[in-house]
Amino acid sequence: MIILESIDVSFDEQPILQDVHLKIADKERLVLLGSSGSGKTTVLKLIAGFVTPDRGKVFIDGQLASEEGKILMPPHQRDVSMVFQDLALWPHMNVAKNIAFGLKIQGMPKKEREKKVHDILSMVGLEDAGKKRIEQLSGGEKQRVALARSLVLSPKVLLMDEPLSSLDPALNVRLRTQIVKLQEELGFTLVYVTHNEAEAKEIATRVVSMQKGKIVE
Amino acid sequence: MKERTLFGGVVAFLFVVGALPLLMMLFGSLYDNGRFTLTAYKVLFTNTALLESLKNSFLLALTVATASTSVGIGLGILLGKSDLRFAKFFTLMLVIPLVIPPYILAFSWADLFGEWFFGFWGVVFVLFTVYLPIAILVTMLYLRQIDPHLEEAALQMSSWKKVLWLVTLPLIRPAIVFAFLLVFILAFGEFSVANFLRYPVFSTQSFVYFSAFYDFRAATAAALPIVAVVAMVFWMQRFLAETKMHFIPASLMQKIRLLKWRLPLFLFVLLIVMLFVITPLSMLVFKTNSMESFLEAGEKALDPLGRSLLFAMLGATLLSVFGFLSAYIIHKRLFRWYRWLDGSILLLFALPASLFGIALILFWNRPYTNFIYATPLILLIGYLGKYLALTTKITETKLVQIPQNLMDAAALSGASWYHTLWYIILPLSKEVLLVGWVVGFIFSLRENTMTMLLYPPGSDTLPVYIFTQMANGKASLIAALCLIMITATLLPLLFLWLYNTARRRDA
Repeated sequence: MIILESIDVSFDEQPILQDVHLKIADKERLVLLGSSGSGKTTVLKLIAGFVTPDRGKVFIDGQLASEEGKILMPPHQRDVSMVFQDLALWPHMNVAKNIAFGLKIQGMPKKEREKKVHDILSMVGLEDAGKKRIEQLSGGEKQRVALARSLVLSPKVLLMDEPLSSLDPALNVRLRTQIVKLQEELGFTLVYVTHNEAEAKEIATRVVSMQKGKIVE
Repeated sequence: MKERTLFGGVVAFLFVVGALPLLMMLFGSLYDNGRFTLTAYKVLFTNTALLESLKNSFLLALTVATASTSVGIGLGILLGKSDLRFAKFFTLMLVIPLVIPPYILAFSWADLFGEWFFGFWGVVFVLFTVYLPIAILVTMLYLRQIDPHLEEAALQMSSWKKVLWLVTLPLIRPAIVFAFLLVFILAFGEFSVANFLRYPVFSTQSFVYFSAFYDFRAATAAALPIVAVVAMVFWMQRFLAETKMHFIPASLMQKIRLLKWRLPLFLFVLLIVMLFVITPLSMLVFKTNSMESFLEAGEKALDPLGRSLLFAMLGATLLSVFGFLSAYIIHKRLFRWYRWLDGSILLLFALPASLFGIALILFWNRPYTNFIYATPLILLIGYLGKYLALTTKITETKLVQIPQNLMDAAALSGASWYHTLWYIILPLSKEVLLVGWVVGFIFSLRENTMTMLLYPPGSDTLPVYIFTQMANGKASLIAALCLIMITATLLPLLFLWLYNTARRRDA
């Protein structure tokens, strides 16, 4: 379970989050819905450990992960993965290397790594894309590679920051169905950020709306 | 090892290499036999020749900076923002005077014009051609940062002439200020051209006090106004010309269509290239006169050239590595006082090489550091301190363009700071590292003033050898030596250009 308790965050003295309280249960599909500038992405970065709260606490599985001015648990110890809005695929690595990066850092032997990469690529429907360079992929393929990279480490929590916003409507619908299916199969907690109400309703088991840095419903 | 521990070590090393010798020199000038005294500084107020040379330096720097910036901005716009034919080729040609040792150009022009070229206007002309590329390149760099929509919006209401004046030029105002200040600083501290063309400037004074009288306290005092001017100009630059360094792809830039002006402007730029680049180089070829001169020069220059290339390669490697590390520290703001590191690196670059050379002698010329002072290591330390700003700034242009999300994604995959550095940042920066290496190589190779002060016996470099030959050597031999030097300097640029062309073709 993830708990955000009385969180305030500001950048350059500009309040971004104000008194945010949020509990996210295990295996939940929570969607944060709001317009741009409402603070949704900051909530994700707070959970991931990239943003430090000015006030309040963040708990992950009962452990204090961040508190006022401090990050107590670094990002890689939180068992959290993230699909960024711009996907953040490393342009100098091919698809397989992008996905295998985290496994390599963990010290997994090469053969095991290759098998795992192959399995996850099959899961997202990109069996033959391993050797392709990132710039050779279409928007939808890139999105699936980013998803595969996030899932390959079997995280307990997956954070997704408007990952489908740049895709055409038909592909958007197809991929959100795939995301829901994968979440049900693998059983991770999903925290999904969007400004699209239809997308929110289709994905979420619970929708939380944000406005001007506050949770409004 | 923790990130801050390792990089703290890097900063400490750079402090010893660059700042500490200068600080020691400054303190040394304030003490005589252990007692605090300002007697050495009396020279600043009592020596009329020194005050005259200060006035000369100021006038020279102002004239060169005004001329280079005015012409450079115009050429920068023409080469970087219009559909001028062969713009890339012209840019490359115009950069040549910047990368070859300036005294070679002085030698060539003086040979062409004779005795009347010596003096103020001769120095102004040579330094103008040397620093013109700075204004051109800085303008082109800033033009690449203009959001094309800003000009497109204005173009719906007006012609390019007015848009340039009312939109483009105000947007690149920081480039104008930055180019002017940079050229001013470099011209203010210039030594070799003024020395060769016999024009008394301030930077030669500290050199004379040190080399002729070995009075380092007076040398330091004489250099103080230079340090003050450089520091002041950098302080001003912080407020006036903060670079954002977010580049728009060249293909998205709004280009000026020259239409009927295309041919006249092409001929105009061609004329400038012929005058400022081809003429002095042709003069050298003409002066060399025969194949024998080349053979003689080749024979005599072989050892110094070999040493020059070796030192330049080692210097370039050090400059690339430490340029990357210091850019990383500055970009990531690893320490609260990162601006001090940034400022010190820039200050060292802007200070006259003679001053830094003297500081290094005073600091390292001790029995227990003889393994550095009496070996080429002292030259490598000199190159590192003097030119670190170049490779640091070049690397920074790339680091600011690597999205933070790429690093965050690595962190979530379990990567520590050194994994991120090794697997993400370093591979993404490899092209700027190569550019930095080439720039470091060229500047280490062409360095002359500091090397003359520092080189250990039997380790003279080609620029030093040429400079000593200039005093009383045969003109044909000197011209041939200069051509060898120019070839050695331009070859890596050619390789870099070929590499980039091949890479673009692959892409």
